[in-house]
Amino acid sequence: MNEVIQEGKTKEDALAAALDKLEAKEDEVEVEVIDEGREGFLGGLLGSRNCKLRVTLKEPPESDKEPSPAQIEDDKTEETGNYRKETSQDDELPLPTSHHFNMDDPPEDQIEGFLRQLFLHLKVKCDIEVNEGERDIYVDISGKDSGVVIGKFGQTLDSIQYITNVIMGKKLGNKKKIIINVGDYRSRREKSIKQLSRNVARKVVKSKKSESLAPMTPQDRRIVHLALSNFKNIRTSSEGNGNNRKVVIYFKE
Amino acid sequence: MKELLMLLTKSIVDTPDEVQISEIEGEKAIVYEIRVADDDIGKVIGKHGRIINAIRTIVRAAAVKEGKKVSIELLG
Repeated sequence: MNEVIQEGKTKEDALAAALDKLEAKEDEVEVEVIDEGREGFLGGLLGSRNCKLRVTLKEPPESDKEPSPAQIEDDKTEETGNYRKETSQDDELPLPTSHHFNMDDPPEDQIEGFLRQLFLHLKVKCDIEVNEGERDIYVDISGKDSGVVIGKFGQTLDSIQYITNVIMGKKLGNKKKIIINVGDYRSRREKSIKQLSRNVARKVVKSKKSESLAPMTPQDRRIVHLALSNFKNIRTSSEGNGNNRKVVIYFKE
Repeated sequence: MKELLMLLTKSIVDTPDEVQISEIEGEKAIVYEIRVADDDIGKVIGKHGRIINAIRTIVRAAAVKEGKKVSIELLG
């Protein structure tokens, strides 16, 4: 039996039951969520739905169930070398310290490889999909930990995108911009910025007094300018310097 | 977290072999001190400190899970 579909009240329940059936450990399987499930109301009495997972056994390693000599060696050092754990927690995870991108790999693979390492260190489990467009490279991230990747007001996401662009620009020398999106985060944000700017614009038309918005990133300001470009009796301009640059909405006869 | 910081710093500089990071851990906070080759200092800081600030933001995201405050200093 290599694959099992398991339902459970929560993802954790379902996974635990599936691992039991497969007699496997968590790191030996691939988990695919078929149905996220729903909590429902009244403590799950109404409208709750079980979470459904497909759990597949990964390709068995060459040396089957017998632990390889290297693993035994590892176990020994774990026992005798307990003091190491106290000095550095990071030792618990087998983290690669050097980056092993192959220069010949296509840019998509290198970007994916870099982000995978980054997420491994951030201890988030995410799916990464890279698509190369005509002018930009789009990266889509999905998974249950995506909130960590977004951060407060999207700060972490913007930082990750910036760093990825800097590093990949240096490695690949490519001029294409890498745009990282988590789920539908950016489209939701675009929607709410448009909504906000229209509301303020209406206020300005009513009062005929100019209003300024909070400081925003260039990308966000662009959304405001575009959203209001066809708005009657409204003119927008970006004012201020550096991190304080913000959009001011003016009334225009 | 140190590995994360190492990965980011080494990816940015020209001479990754000269990157050194020391860790000073307190009860509630951790301070990381980064040393890089002289020629690489500017690369780690970036225009208006954008790169070092992005690094700080990312490492802090990792620190949230451990419930610690993190500050990162670049030593020249």
